[in-house]
Amino acid sequence: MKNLIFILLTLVTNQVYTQQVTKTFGNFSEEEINMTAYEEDEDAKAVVLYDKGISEFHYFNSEYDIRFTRHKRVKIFDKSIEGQAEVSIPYYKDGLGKTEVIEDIVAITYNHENGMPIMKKVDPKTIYDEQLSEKWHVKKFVFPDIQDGSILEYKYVHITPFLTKLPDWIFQDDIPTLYSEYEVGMIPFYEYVFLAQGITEFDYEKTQKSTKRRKWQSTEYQTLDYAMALKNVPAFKSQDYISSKDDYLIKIDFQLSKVITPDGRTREILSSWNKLNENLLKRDKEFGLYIKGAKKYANYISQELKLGQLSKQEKAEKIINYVKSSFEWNGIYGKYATQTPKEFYTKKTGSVADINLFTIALLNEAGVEAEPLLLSTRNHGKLRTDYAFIHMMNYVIIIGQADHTFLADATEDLLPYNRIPTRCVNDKGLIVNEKEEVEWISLESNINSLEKKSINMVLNPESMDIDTKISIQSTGYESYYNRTYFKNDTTKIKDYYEEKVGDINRMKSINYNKNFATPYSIFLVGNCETEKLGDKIIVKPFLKLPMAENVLEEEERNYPVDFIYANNDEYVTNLQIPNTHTINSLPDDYSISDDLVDLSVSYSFENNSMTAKGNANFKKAVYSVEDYPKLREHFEMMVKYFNQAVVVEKAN
Amino acid sequence: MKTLVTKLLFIGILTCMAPVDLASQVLLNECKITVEPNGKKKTIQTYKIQINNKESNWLAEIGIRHDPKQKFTFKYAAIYDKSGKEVRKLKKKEITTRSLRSSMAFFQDDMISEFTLYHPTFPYIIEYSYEIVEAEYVVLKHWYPSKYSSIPTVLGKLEIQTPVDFSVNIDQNGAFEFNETIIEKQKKYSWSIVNIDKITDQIYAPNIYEMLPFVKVVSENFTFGVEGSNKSWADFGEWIHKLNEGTDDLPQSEKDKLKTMVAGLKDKREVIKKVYHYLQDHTTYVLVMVEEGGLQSYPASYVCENKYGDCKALTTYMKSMLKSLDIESNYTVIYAGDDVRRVNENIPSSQFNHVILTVPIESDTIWIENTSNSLPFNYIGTFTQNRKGLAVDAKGSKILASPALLTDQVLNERQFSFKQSNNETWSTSAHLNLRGDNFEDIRYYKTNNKESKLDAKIIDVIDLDKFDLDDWEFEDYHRDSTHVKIKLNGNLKNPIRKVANMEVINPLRIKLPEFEKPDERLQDVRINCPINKLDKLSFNLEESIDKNVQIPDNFSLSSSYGEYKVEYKKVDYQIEVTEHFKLFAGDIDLNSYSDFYQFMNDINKIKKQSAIIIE
Repeated sequence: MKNLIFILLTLVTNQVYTQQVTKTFGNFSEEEINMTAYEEDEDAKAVVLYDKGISEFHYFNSEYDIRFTRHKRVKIFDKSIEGQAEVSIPYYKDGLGKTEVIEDIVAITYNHENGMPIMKKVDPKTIYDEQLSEKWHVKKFVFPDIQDGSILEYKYVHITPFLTKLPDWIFQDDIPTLYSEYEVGMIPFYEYVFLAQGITEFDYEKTQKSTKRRKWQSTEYQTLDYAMALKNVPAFKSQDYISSKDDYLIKIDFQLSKVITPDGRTREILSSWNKLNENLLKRDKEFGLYIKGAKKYANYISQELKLGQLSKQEKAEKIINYVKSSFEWNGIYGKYATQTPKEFYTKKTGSVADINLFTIALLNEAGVEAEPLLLSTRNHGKLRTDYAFIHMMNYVIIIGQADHTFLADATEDLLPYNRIPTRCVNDKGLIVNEKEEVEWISLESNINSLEKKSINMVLNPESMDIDTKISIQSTGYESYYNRTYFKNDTTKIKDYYEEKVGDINRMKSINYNKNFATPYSIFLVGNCETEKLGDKIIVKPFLKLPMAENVLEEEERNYPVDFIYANNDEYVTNLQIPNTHTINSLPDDYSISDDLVDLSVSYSFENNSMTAKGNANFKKAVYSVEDYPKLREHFEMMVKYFNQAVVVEKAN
Repeated sequence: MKTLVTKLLFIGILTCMAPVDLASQVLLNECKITVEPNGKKKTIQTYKIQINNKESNWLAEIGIRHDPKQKFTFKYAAIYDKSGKEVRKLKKKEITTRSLRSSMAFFQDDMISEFTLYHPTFPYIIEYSYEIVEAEYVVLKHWYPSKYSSIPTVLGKLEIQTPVDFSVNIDQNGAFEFNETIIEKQKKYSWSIVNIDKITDQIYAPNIYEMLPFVKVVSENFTFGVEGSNKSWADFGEWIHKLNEGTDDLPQSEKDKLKTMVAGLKDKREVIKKVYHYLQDHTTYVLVMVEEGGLQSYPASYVCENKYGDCKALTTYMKSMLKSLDIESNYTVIYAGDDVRRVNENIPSSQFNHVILTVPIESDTIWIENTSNSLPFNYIGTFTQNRKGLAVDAKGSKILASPALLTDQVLNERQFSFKQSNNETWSTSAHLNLRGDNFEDIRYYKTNNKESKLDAKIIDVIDLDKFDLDDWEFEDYHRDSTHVKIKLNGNLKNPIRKVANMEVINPLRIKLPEFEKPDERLQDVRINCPINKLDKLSFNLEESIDKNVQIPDNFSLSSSYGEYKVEYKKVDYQIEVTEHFKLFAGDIDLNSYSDFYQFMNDINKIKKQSAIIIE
């Protein structure tokens, strides 16, 4: 009954709005003109009134291209809104003669002043063309004369000869969307599969055969037109500690699956993960054939590295570390090589794929079994395995077999050879091999990271301030973050820690780049001014190193809390005080252990020496929405008990 | 033979470098400029950089910026090993060129050509050279021998060759060896400098470009868009004027609209204000840098139509609007930003990055920031205060100084009243009266309806740990006001710390800038804008009426650098605390730094030891 009511309500609401939608460019309804707010989201500074995309296949110059027409209309309630006045339309040139084209851009700002409509068109001279990179360009323009109440409307045609790039459609925006529709006219020569995210049912959906008959060579055909629409889509609102916005946006993605020639022959582009693997390895010159081509550099490198008598694990370690130290990652992600192995070897720099596929060749030639592993990075969204959607993967790493199975990424020289960076820790990855059974590997980190702070304090009998000796040791991903942030830069270490531990006179870091498998250590020697209250001296045993405020501020949570890896934060403090002084009472101990955390703090005092121990073990890498209230409470307790102070007083 | 010489040079340079601390460094920054008789300028720039470890590999990532008016030619690039042996030569196809993008500009037509020269064995040396030919330019060369301020430079060389009758003005700062010769109707100037150290970032230091050695050479006459001259500031201003000639093409309909708008206003100042408000309410700042190096303004008609523009276009529009009402004003170029780069008045030339409008009115000047829709009329903010600019006029351009914000004009007042509600929280009410940068930020967020940023800014200004802001509102908000008042309520998590049998409140809330210790300070101190903070706090300790409450002693300190005062008063269960800190604007040279640090440290010590104790 509840569902029925909901459906009826939805229908009524939609019907009301459906009457308001005007689909002709430059033609607005009274309601659109007079709208001053959106009642479903009163804070919205603008709404998308209408957004429609149409993708059609056009026969041009003896082949098909895709013409994507976009028509978008936005109502501005508050002209101070960011991101709506400036429009950027990216397009691609492959550098080999095939190029996408953006044409017929028309954009207008519609205002209503003193009861009169005023339309201002974007001057074509102010539509700029920017070259983002060798292959990516962007058309840019700014809407003129934006006022509160303006309607911004634009349309353009994006022509692409790349049939693998049938435009995807995102129904959701950072502002509410009242109506979003996508139409695709399919021809019988290209088959696509699609994946819908965040959609249980479309508000409008239609499939029909076009009445118009078309012909390619001797084959006569009709297009099959699909239309799908959503209404009243809420604005996307992000939260801290989520994996990727892409995982939660309401959208539909397409991928070319099959090409059928007019004479009936078919070529599978995407049928299964096995086929995809086979294609990548056997036919793709930017993947499998690149690995093959890279093998000829292996001999030379193998001799240079003197691999002869080494075990498989030693070889793997040596080869991967060699690549890390000899080649520079250019920051570009990707699963396909961007240059030939020769170019890569000469230039000593390349993308993720250039580096890792090259390394796979070296490993294999040295007798270490290694295969590519495709994945989607954290900022790229989660993988879905329902269909073999290659474009859901944006990164390739190495899976190898030595004494154990290991994962490696040769782009990241601050990690051990058999660890991958946190950007890759995202659900699972696909092993690209020729086995019949498709192999997926979990990328979740099962290694607990640790940061251990050992603090030695001596209360100076003259100044009553504290001389400090501190060591901070980190392992796992904690050490990776520390290494990445501090490197070997003592100024950076000093700037960061002086706020937390007082003046630092000497400092050093150990194992920054020599042995990645060993902990990264920072040593600090300095002094810390104590707080003096009358004749009492106040000391915080853990200084200001623990978390001072609960980082989980929101009372409620819609998405899981993703810390990427489990972490243990440990403190041990020893405070020596002069014989003339004592500690009469110690702060409260605290201890709790459950399935989420182990938290404990304890204090003891003997022979003018106080020991304080603290341990915060966060057991999970990812905490569910249900875990959130409990987790937040644990953070609260950690802030409270790890920041307690002791009072040093004159002995009687 | 040439190769051999090159090799020897490399070996020589490598040997003379510090072998122990193998810091990566620029071995050579060489710039050779030739001016042809027709004024065309050819620049050949060569760099040689030694890279000692993988962390320094960023030095092998090369980007060369050029604009469409320049003819850019790549000459060569190569990698050498530590023995000077060439290990690789860059192929031209390895160079990629793309649009230069910046977060400041929506679009600019400058390009950047990029390539990398990595080598796996350290140390290695890269060398590259390129040529840029320009028919038009404003400055012959503004040369910094340090390519990177964070990396030492071993040798910097500048050579400029001009026809003998080509007059230049020169300004320089640094231990240069200088030579001037005339050979066959060619005048040759050359500078060289060795061992330039890196510069460390320090708080309140002078602008980095003032600390680096430099040579600036400007030709007396030049052409850029139109003919111009650097002989005097009047001449340079005349060039800017000519470059923008004809841009005051305000449409008649707009002129009519303005006339109607100001009809009835008698006072000139009121007219200007009305027009300024019109500009603020109907235009937006968008930076587009195309053609003429982004120096020429879009015309007033462009802004009138599109209602957006950059600082030049918006200033031109404002100037044109005033002109249509018979009010003359000056397009005024200035170096904007908190980190002021002082104008060298001895060398008239381009030294500015922003444009504002100055309107001479009786014996006064009205200063107008046209890119801001939130600042009050005639408000000179932290962005442009206390520096020199050039007021442009057809014939009478002149340097003028923008007013400096006085201590009272940047006074930030906070009045807090805390009352214990329960064991967990204290109800808090506060009144803020903010000026200077806080005022500017809040006005910007308020005008542009950036609610979340406004909330965050207020919380930032309140700066209380564990404080929940319940509600706040502006008091007497007015667009012409140069301060902003805010009234707020909230709850502070119990500020009493329990330490043994004591309860402790640390009442002092003003945060001071943190300066380096004297043995770490390398640079003079420059305070461009004074700091003035006043806190009045009231703690209601009714709940502790039966307890013994101790308050700290009053304290005050005064010096030529600033003033600090803290006073405590206890009336029944009410504790009143007044804390006031002032840091005056001015320069403090390194010799006086210890004295200055002592002043700051004395205040810090007192602040740390000041606590209200309840027993």
